[in-house]
Amino acid sequence: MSPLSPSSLSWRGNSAMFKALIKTRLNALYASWFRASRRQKKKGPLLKLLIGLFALYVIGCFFFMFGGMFSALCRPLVSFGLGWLYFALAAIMSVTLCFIGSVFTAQQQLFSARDNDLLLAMPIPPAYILGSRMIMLLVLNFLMGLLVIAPAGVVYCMNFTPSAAGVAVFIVCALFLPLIPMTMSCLFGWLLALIIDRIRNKSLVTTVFSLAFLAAYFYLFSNMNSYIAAMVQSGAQVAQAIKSAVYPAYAFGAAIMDGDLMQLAGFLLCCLLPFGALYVILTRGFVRIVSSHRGAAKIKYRQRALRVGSAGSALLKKELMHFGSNGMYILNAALGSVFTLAAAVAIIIYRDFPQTILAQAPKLIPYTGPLAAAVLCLLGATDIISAPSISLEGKNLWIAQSLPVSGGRVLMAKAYMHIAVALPPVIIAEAAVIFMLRPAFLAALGILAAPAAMTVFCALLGVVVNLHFPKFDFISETAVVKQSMSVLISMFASMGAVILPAMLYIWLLKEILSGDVFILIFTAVLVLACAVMIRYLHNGGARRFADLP
Amino acid sequence: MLRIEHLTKRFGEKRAVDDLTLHLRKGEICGFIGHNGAGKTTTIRACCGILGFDSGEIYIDGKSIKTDPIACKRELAYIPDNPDLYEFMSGIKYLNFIADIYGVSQNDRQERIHQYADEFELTGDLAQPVSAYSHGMKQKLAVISALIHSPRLIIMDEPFVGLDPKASHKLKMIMRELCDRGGAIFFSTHILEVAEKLCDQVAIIRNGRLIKSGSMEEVKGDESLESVFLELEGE
Repeated sequence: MSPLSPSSLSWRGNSAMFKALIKTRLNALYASWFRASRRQKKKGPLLKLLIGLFALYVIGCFFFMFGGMFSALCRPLVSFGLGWLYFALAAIMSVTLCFIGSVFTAQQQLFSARDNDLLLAMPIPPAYILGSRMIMLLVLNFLMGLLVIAPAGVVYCMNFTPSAAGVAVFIVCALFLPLIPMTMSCLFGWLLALIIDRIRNKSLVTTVFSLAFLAAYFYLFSNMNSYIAAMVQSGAQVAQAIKSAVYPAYAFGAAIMDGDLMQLAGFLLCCLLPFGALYVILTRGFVRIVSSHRGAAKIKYRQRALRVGSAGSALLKKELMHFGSNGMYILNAALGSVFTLAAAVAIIIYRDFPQTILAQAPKLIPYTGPLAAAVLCLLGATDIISAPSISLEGKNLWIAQSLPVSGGRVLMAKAYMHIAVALPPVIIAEAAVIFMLRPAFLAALGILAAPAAMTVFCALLGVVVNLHFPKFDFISETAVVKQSMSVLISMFASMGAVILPAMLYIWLLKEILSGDVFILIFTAVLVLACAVMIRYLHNGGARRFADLP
Repeated sequence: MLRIEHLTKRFGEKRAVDDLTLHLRKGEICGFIGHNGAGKTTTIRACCGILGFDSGEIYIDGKSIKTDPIACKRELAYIPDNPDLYEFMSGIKYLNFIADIYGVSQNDRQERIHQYADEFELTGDLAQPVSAYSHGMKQKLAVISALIHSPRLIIMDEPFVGLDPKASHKLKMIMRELCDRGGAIFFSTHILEVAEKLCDQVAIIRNGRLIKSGSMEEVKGDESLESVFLELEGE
């Protein structure tokens, strides 16, 4: 029986089944944002408001970023008669963002989902399982793509008056465009799944892949101004290159700008044909792909003396092993550490950069130390390593709960893991900053103490928050690391712990306190908060941990 | 060795375990049987200090699991119904982790790990990640990890599920040896033939209440355990 046309099921039954699968996937997507755990079924209105605010903030950032870029491109390109290039560039940027943002999700959701076996054991055609997951990915891609396409459209409307037909074609193109990155994500996700299945150190490969993507993205973004200038100057050559090498982008731009229906048809075919072909190929091989794991070569066990350690070090090692085993965990939770290290390297390479800034804004000179400390604190605050650590115990929670160690020690091991990962980059960055800026003693003390204290604060805060917002019913660990409530609150709270005191100082205390003294007071408050959290984790927190379901 | 006194555990309005009292002496193997949802796992999890309870007391070798959970956990080992272990570790790393937690000396851990791994034919797979293990292999690893610190009481939830016949036989022998050395074992099972052959004591639970307990002879008399169980269940 063909997997595409299961004759045993009626059309009505199939349709209901497909709808149920799509609903389940979209519910899972919704639940990852708006539901905390089995126990705590729904998130309160305050938390929903927080999520909404965060979403608005992210959307605002993207609009601002891409809006600025498109403002620089729109008028010059359209005035040179290259309006199609403007939209073609928007399409390329949108596809790139969606692809980077969804390739790992595609790999996890399509080929490594925990419930693949369960669903395949049911009388569900594989095409429906795959289709329902692809629709969820399409929704994600559409939302991500909108962050680029919408500002492009808005900027164009602010500069020119589009025709009704142009708007209609733009909407159609924007609706179909996400099919391209989704097809690419599914294809690369498949390749990734094949590679990951055959190698031993999966997390290393995922991390390297992702860091390469990230580095490429930041490289492109940091050079964006020069690219835009070059594009405006040599628009004709760029246009010719895109026209001949990236036909779908050309068709997208030409269809919108010129209302060319042939180009619209060409663009739609470029979206639909590869997607359809990949869907058919994947559907035919889906069962084989997800069920025939070749696996890495067997590791031979050689008996050797086992290392003996204390219970505390065993718990810490276990946490570090878990962290190191998941590339998505490393990348999403320790991005702050990557940036902190990058900042340390950057300040050494671009040693004149701080002096240039200070020369342009001499008023900042007395605040050099506090500013450097605040930047390092802010970078550290984006690390959310401990925030999903309790949730990630998942079905293994019984092990930690049945061990003869107090809940407090188990929880502290999670905070120590965060500190062990995040503190070394902070110390390296502190040393680099002090070496390059040569601040006075008090300022140097602030640069040393505040970011270190902030790291410990974030580590403890993550555990405390996760203890109150655990999520054990996850399908993939990525969902916990990327989308759980605990991660969101921890990140918000940690960043708030830097931004709010900074605002307090700028608006109220600047006249009565020196920046260096304020940073030391801020550090003392952080240390006090850490002491309170440690006490809580050993008492009330440990009891709460013992009661976790 | 294990004393459960008037244990009551509610989930909302439902009494999952209702005033359950059960005593298990050193040297005894006690089989805990009952239909699905009778309250076996809830009782077992409460005995291991994983699940809090509303009233009653549980003592492990005279120590209260409520007031001195860590001392109690040092004396016991727990094997759950589903061997969900740390998949990011290799088998040997998991066993070494457990040995570290229980403070097992290097010689003892080395000797016990290899003795039990050989007995359960898992030695060749110890370097493999747990994620690559089959259900049965995980169950064997869970059993070995439970034996590393030479516990005096082992509490097991359906320990034979997933084990091959050879491993099942080995586990039964280990259980008997442990009890002969003065230990005790409390385990739940649906395999009544195993309970009948292996257990000194048997406890039957229905809807959270202990409906019969005692020595195997007292409970079943001349009948088979299966017929007694079905009779008590009202079949």
